Amino acid sequence: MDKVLKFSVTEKIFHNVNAVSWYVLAITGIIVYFNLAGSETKNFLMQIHIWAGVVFTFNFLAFIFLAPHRFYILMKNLLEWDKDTFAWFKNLGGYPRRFFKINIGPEEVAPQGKFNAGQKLTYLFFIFMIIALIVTGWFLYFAKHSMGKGLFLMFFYLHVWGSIITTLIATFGHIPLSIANKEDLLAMWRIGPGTVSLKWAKHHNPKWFQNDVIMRPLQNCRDQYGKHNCKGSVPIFRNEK
Amino acid sequence: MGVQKIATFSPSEKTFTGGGTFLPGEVKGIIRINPNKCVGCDTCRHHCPAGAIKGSLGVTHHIEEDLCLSCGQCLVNCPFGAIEQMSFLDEVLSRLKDPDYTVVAIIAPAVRVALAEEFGAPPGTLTVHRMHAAFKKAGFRIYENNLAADQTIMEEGYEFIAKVKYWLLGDKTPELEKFAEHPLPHFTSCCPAWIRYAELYWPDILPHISGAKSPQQMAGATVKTWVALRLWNIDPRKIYTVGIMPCTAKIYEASRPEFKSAFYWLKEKGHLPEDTPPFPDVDAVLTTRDAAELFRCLNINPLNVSPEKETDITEVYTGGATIFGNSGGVTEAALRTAYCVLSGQEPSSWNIEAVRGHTTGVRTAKLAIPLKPLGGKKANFHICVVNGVKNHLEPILEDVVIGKSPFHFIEVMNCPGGCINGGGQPVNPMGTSWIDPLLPLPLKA
Ligand code: HEM
Ligand code: SF4
Ligand code: SF4
Ligand code: SF4
Repeated sequence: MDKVLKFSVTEKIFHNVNAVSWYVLAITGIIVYFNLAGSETKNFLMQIHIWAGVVFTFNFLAFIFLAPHRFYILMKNLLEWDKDTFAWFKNLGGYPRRFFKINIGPEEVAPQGKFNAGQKLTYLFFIFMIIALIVTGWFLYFAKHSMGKGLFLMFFYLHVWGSIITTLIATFGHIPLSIANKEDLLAMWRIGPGTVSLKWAKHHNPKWFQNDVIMRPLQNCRDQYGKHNCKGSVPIFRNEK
Repeated sequence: MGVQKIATFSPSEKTFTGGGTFLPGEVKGIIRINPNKCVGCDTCRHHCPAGAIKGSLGVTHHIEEDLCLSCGQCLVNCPFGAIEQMSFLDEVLSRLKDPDYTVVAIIAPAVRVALAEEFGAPPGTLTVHRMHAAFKKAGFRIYENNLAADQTIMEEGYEFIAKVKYWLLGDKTPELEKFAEHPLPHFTSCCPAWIRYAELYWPDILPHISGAKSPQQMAGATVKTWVALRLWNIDPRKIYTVGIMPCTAKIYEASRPEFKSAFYWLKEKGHLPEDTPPFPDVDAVLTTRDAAELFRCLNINPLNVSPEKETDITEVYTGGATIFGNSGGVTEAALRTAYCVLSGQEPSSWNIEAVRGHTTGVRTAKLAIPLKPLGGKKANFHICVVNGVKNHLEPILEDVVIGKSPFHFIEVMNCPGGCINGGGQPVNPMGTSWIDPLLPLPLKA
């Protein structure tokens, strides 16, 4: 056993349905807002936008209500900031050096938890925007008149520009970086377990590995041939002990 | 809090050509959506009483002229300021400069309440005297719309009385014969958007609607006849009347071809040369916003003009008409008249409060009037005030059409809350009128 679970099935479903419906929403929304198609097409795209919004909304609600413990762990990982988290900003996780040969800060990357500081910031912003877009979207659709014109305008621009800014961050930050981190990418997207190798976890997420993962020695165990084979250990999570 | 800037445009050739649901000469296309500014948020469509706005969410909307009432409700409610109004300001400004013309302002009460807002003061801070002084400074003479409203109320009150006599008291004397075709319930007629709505969508209701002209039209005709000949001694052809209104539909009303009463009367009485081309009773209408723009063009701030006492009798008015701009106001004023005549006495309290004000889209009240011809026997009159044609009026009209209406008197104001919230009023960027359908606010003049 040399793998450790990074993304549970619930997280993977949430994330991937969210990502796909996000881009459907973003593309239809942008075409409609910037008038990039004729009326008929825009009408049709708007229909898709609303239905994708339904999927998007229920996907998020399902995640927090059906897998509250995973949502809790996610938020805990995102919200816990220590000295090393802040130290990450000194060299921005070494990415500028790695990708663009820009030398800033120390060579060494401060050890990070399950998410590095950049991910924490980005994901918190993403989750905030997901909620904001769901709320503003449905208010704009169903409850125009309970808001008054001023609030309506605020909601409208928050919806439009909030989604555009977030899409830019996702498209030019989140996605390229996630593709660069191959094991994480596979863990998140492959049809199958959301695991990464222990080696990968130790290297990229040392603090997560150190704090949350315990290696339990294998005891009283048999291999597939029925032979005792108690060498080695399996990773388990501290809160599962 | 400031007000939202509303773009205007000037009338074009096409404006007066008629066609579709418009007669030649009638102003069409008063309200239009600027496709470059419309984001397709679909708000306006939910405010349109006539279903004249086409477009779905996300799609640039447009107004079907032939269905449109020109009420301007879409305009005041568009959060993006994408809806524009046709304005006759340029024409009025050039008439004001022309020494040959006497330009007369017919000022509706709801204008005063709102004009202050355009100059950054709380609604209602502008006094009548100060506002009159400002219009005079701009070169107008004044005919208080309130004075005309008094006329309308008398006219409408007596008309209602006649209908009651004919239909309820069985008085079939020859002079009441014509009311055989005008059954109860009686509908008010002073809101031009409502009239056009009835004409386009509920023609069966037309016989029920009062034959009284709106205050604006009475004022126009009176200025060009009685005032011109008896009071001011000027040539009616050299009078240019301008309605100053909270309303965009009034622009349309003034252009209706039947409103040339002064011309026909003057002609008949030999006051006009044979070759005089017909002229309207009201030459132009400026909305409250237009009037504010006019003051800005002329560098006048009405809030800083020193107030003057009335100089013309045409500037004076009674309290009865001040409430005209309120929803329920017309009804209350007309009922005061009806009460007096039918009962031969004054009502115990002048304020028949149950109908005035604005709490829901439809307000009803019961008024017991002791009928003199029946030896003081009390009869209950059922009164209904509709605030906002949208969402509220249809079931009431349906009852009337099938002969099941419980009402005797029905006031219809197209705009939620009445003219105070009309399509020509300063546009509040917070859209107080917006929450209206959900949380009706008390809007008092
Ligand atoms: C379609 C392209 C996308 C790809 C390929 C992608 C890929 C990934 C990957 C590989 C991770 C795990 C990174 C890690 O923690 O090591 C991740 C996490 C995350 N992504 Fe995306 N993503 C995409 C779109 C989006 C969009 C559009 C959003 C929302 C705006 C989003 C929000 C998130 C969030 C909140 C997380 C952390 C969630 C968790 O770990 O459970 N992603 N993404
Ligand atoms: S309210 Fe204004 S922006 Fe919204 S659809 Fe109507 S015209 Fe367009
Ligand atoms: S002016 Fe009135 S009737 Fe015309 S489109 Fe606007 S809301 Fe509808
Ligand atoms: S309610 Fe008043 S402002 Fe509105 S359309 Fe009728 S007359 Fe004009």
